[in-house]
Amino acid sequence: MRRIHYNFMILLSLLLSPAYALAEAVVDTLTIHCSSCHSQTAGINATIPSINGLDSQYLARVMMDYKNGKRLATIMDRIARGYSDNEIKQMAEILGRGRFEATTQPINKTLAEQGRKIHQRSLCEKCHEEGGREPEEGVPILAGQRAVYLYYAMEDYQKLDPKTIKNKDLKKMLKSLKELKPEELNALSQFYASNPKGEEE
Amino acid sequence: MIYSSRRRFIQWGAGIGAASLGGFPYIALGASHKIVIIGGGVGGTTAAGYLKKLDPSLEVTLIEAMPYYYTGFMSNEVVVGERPIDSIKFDYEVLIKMGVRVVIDVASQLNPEKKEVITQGGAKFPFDRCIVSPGIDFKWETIAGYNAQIAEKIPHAWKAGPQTVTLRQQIESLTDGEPVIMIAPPPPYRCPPGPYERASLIAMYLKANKPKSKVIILDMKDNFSKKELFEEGWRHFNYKIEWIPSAEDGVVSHIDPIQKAVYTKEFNTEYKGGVINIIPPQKAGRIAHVADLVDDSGWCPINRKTFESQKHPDIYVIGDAASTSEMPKAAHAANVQGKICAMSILASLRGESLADPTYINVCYSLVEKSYGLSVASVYRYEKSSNLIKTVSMSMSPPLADLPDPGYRKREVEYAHGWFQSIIKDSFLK
Repeated sequence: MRRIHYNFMILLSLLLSPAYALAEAVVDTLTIHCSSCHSQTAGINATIPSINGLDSQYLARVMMDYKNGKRLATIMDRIARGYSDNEIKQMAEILGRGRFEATTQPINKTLAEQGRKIHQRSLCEKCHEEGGREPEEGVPILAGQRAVYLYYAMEDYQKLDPKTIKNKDLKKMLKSLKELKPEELNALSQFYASNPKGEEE
Repeated sequence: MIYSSRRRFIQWGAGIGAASLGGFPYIALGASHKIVIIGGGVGGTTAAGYLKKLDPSLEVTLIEAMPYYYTGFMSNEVVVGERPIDSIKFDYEVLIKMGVRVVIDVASQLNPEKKEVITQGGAKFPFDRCIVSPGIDFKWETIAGYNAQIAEKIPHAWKAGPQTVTLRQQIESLTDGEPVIMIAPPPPYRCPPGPYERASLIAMYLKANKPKSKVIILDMKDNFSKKELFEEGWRHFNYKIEWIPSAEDGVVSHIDPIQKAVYTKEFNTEYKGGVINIIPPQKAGRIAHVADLVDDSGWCPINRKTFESQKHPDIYVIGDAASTSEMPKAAHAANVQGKICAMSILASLRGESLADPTYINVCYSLVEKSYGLSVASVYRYEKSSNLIKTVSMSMSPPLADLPDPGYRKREVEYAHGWFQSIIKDSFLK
């Protein structure tokens, strides 16, 4: 684990976990609002991603992209515009220190297996290591993320113009994604959704 | 506190003595405090859960009249048969498991001097801090002939529950060709776009099932939330909706429940409907009046940073009953206020001060099963004026400006995702 847990986070989780099985509750007047929509424990049809414990660089970049209209959104672009760049950075850091919780959801195993092959064939593993469980820096955890969200996120990436993307890795990802058909995106979503961190942790 | 920008944060985990949870001792900061919360809607449950989460040593009591809470949000889907009533029905089990004492009784008195709440059942609850989150009450007197008893038959269905089902049944048994008459209230009221979402979904139902019927909205105002977007949706689906604003004799002043007719204030125009749905003008819930927490507006003036009442110290008002400046009366707003209020109470018990907060409100409305609209806002507290100021507010774009053809459908799916999430974040499930 390369993520750093600050002492107070550990203390907090110790204090809270016996009383109520919550992941580390990050409590400040900025990020306290995120969980209204981004509940860690919402049910299987939750179309909104789980964001606690994702890489802070990734979170900050995505929020800035929302703010600057560089990422397709329905409401996150509008919300991101309400915060300063510095606040976005702070929020990303706080959320990044949280613990990601995999969503329990029904999985189509056949599709997930197809997705595994697409994951390997399309070189997703290069950045989304261990099937999206242990991503490299700046990359979000995909394993155990909500399937509907994963599908939409990839569909949205397909719509972006690679010329507008500066980040080299992201450019490569866009190229790979553009070659995938909707049913392949669906299989990939099922694979990532089905691949949460195991018991070894 | 390890984190540097400490004003943004609340310190966690005070307790009595060398209290121990899960085998880990932690440091004591003082005697346990009693927090009494009145109202088991989204505001009250969120505040209760977050208080307990932030400081498990607090004695948190939630007093609510009913054993179940039906969410107003998504109840319009029940009205048109798109969702069963049980899917918006929630109990307080999660809070009870967290250690919140849940009392099913009516909070009939709140004594600010004695710092005590008394229930109809005669139980007394002393408090160090009290949160009042009673929601709305109706100004029955504004529509002659309408009252709580008649509302059982001519429902407002603006507090979800049995009346939601009644309205559903009435719409189902409407004779094709008879109009559905809706009366929309003047501001401020619970869920500003709600009446128009309801009109949209009823029109959707009528289009498929009673094509000769239409919806007539008699409005006590001349504008409404997301108006252009709703009207565009109504045109898009060829809905039969007639909107009559206040300026065009839309204000209803009395009702004849036997004739199923309503009459306007200006010209006494008669409207007869197969179904009449009256959403009356509103004020803060009853206990707020009893406890002297309201002003002439009928709502509760508060410090908009801490949510503490401006009339009585150590009493906090959140949700629809509070006068929250630019923040609307909405479930998401109540959830956000519940969290901020919990933080501000903790800060006050510890003699700390909270950073000036930001607030968010998100509000989805459905025009059709695959056509959703939203408004999303970020607000900030402005100390000099004690106002909650909008810093970023925007609605879904009109059809011509959609960045993607799937946008409206996605908003429906996100509305349902939001519903699942806010229920969790409010400890209702």
